[in-house]
Amino acid sequence: MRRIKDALMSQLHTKANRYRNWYHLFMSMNLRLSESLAKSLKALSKETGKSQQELAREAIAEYVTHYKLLRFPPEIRHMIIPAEREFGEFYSENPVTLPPGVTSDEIMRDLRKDRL
Amino acid sequence: MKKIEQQICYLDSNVLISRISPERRSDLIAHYLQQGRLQGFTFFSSVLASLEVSRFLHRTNTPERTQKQFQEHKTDALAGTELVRLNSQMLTSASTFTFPHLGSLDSIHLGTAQAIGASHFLTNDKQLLRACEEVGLATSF
Repeated sequence: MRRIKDALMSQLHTKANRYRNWYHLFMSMNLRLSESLAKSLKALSKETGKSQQELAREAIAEYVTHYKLLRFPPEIRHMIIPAEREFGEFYSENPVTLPPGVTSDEIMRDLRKDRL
Repeated sequence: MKKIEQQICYLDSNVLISRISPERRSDLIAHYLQQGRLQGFTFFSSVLASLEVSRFLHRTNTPERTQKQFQEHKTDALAGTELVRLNSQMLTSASTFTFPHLGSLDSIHLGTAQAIGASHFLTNDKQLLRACEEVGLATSF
């Protein structure tokens, strides 16, 4: 009896952990949509075979990625790839370690050399 | 091509690489970038710079460096820099520079800076510095 109880408790414990991990990995949020937008989303979900959640996630990801581009004229937005991260510190806290006897200048000169 | 109506400072890939390379740290470049930020400049470079940073990292690769560290170095180098995709107008522009000692990659960077309407161009390369000055791009703040 005790063994069954322990097994059940350990299963519950694992499930709780899994939920906790899942919750930390994926933030959940409530999204209130207007009736018309909800209808459109439902229709798009039927049309594409994707869940409404999946479509909403895709739309938000795209918006977040391209939000920075809105400050540029529409004609050239397609040419710009926004910076992945803000400027922050000029120098990296974890610089690269160069192989012994090699300098960055030499590498850069070599990389910039025209093909013969 | 419609130009960007903002103050643009173009960063050469050697400036980006100096951010992750300890022996290339230059107080002068850091000072220029700081000035540029204070004056409201947006920093741009070409997708070519992203390629050059990757090549640099591959060249300096060690067995201990993980894919995650590789990506972190690349992100550190390119942080705060918008990248411009190459197009035929930039390549045409690059082919018209008459400076005899300007390499192909250098000329692409210069052509891209001109195409997007940059007013400033930061680089550590002497040949490129001279070419920038010839075409009227400021090379310091």
